[in-house]
Amino acid sequence: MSRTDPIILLQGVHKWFGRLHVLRGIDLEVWPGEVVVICGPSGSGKSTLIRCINRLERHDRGRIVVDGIELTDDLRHVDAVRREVGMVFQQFNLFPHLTVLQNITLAPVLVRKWPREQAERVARELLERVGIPEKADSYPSQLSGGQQQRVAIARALAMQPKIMLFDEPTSALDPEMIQEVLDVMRDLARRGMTMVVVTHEMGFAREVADRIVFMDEGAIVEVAPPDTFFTRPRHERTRAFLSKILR
Amino acid sequence: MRWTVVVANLPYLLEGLQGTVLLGLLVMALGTVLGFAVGLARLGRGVVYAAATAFVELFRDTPLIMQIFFIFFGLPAVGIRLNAFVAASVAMTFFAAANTAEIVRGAIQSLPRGQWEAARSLGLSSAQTLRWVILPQALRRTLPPLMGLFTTLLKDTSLAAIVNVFELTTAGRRVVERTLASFEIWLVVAALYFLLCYPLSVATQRLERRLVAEVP
Repeated sequence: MSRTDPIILLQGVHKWFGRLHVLRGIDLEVWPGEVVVICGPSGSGKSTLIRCINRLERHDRGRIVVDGIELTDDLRHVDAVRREVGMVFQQFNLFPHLTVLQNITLAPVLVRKWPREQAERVARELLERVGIPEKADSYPSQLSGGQQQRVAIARALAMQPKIMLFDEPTSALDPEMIQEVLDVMRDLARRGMTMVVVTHEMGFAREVADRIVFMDEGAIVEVAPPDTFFTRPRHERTRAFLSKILR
Repeated sequence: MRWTVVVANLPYLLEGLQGTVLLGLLVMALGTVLGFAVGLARLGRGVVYAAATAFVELFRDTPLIMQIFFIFFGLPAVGIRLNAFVAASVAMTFFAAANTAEIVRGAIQSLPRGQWEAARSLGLSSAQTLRWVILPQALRRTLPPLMGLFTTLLKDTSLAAIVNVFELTTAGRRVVERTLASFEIWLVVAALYFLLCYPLSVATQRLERRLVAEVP
């Protein structure tokens, strides 16, 4: 793979839920180190789109290639992609029966076959990085929403992924906790992580994104760098969306 | 009232109670093991799923007493002869397993889909996800309904009396036939069942409250 190959490639991707056509021919390339923010009204297919990138949803038509591996029904390809792609969910999805440290070390020990000491050392470093080293032995239910989401980010990072997917990571948080999560994501972007972020946080998008993708009704309407996107959107639907969300 | 009859026959009734406890424990143990296997098989696909589903529906949607009749009186027609205790044990084990399987499947499916998704997105296989993420959480949720099922099973062992397995109800019937003290004997038999089941029932409710309080 040459330096100029995209790390994520989507070509003509279609997806149906029953008769509902939720993705209508998506073409998108994401380059290594790039931060791409996907926004759009609810039901526009943006969550489905990023869930296709690590095959939590199966696309029905088109091609998806991640880090040189094409996503097909071949489970080895799916597993290989999932090892390189971290995901952070709106509802955190921490494992409630495990401590914070166990949440983070589970996958490195089971999947990467790291010795426990190595996994725990890395986990503690990551907890330091997301600002809650003292919570290692707590259970998720003892943490605030913002802390839980920071643990979820640390858990995904422990697998040392090449790509991080964020599916509305701050939408379930109380307003005062949104910044602490965005700070962690900002730091991640600065360190050069490739990120695809579905979010309504337009401040974050303007500041961190390299490109913003606007989706509506299962299709990509517009792709632009933040400056252009916010000041000179080309499409009427983008302008309508922005006028609602930037009130 | 002839309470001396009760005193005289109590040792015999207690022997019957032993039979009830033995049959009950046997059925709980075998039914739980088989039931977990069938419940997990229902998460699978294809033939495994179909076989497990057929098993569950068959034994949940027919009366237990028919199952006992069929295994004890029906199977000899195709050359399978089981003694009454074994026949009753087999029928009740299948019945227990079918119900346990539903409890296990229900507990697993009651977990949020996000738990599967988070584990799979971290690269865990489905077997690893089941072993380390899903089952540890689901097991807790199976406990109260499982103990409820145990209480039912303990009472339902009385159905084995119909094929003359020696347990509490059979013992009671034989004493009544001999002494004609229906009122006293059946009252005592009922009391013995109650003493067996009531503590289990109370323990179930306590456990339920505790688990509800602990769930995050």
